[in-house]
Amino acid sequence: MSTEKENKAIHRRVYEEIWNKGNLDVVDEIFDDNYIFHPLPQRRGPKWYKEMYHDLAGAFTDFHCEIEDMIAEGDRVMVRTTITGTHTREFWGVDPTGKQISVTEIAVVRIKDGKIVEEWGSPDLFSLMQQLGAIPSR
Amino acid sequence: MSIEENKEIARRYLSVDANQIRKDIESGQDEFHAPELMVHTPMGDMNYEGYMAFMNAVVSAFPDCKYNPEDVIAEGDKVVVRYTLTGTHRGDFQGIPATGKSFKIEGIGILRIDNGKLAEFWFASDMLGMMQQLGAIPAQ
Repeated sequence: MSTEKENKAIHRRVYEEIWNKGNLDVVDEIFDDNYIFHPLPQRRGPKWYKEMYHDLAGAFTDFHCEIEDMIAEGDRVMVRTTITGTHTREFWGVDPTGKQISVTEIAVVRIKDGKIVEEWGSPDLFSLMQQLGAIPSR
Repeated sequence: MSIEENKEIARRYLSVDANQIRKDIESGQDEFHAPELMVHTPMGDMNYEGYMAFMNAVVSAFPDCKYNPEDVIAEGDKVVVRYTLTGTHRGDFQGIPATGKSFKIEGIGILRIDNGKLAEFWFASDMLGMMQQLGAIPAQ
């Protein structure tokens, strides 16, 4: 397998095994101890990633990531996903609304020796907060 | 077109002054966009005319807005550009009157290049961060 194919397979596991199946053992397996999430570089490491998982998957029942596209070159992999779920618990100060959300995320990761060392994520938090009614829709 | 050529086109598209692109289009010299352009945005999908109207609105609100490509990767006919986007709020934007404030946010775009032209474009910029920096919504 080429590096790109191997790296895509690793990145795919983030969505299919961690986010869609809740298998948090995979976090320790494929995230580097010094993993950094941009643009919030103070957030790092597998422990923080699991906390983020609990924040999101805990607030949205049926949390699901559908992979729409993947592009890889060298040590970087891009994934475009559609994230869906139902808002059944408090999230970022917004009380449960029961609303169904659907947002796009585009993320790029850098993989070194089979571990994810860096991630640049661009989740569409603006649309998410609009769909929850926390920001007015225009 | 080779992958390297596509990367160069994507890098150039996101480096050129948005005002310049607008002027070229107005004078009928659209160097970058394919007529069958489809742009996928958080506000919905836009065709060529829709995207030009959107760009006009953005450039009117942020005349100095500029992409700065930070990293470029490509595979097949698609190019991924990780960028920072900067601008100063000089005109009405989505009902928010000019604040004079500047913003700097990060984002990622996916550009599908067909015969040297931009045929399809997905982008995700940190709109929440931008609205917070403009003071339109409170920072978390």
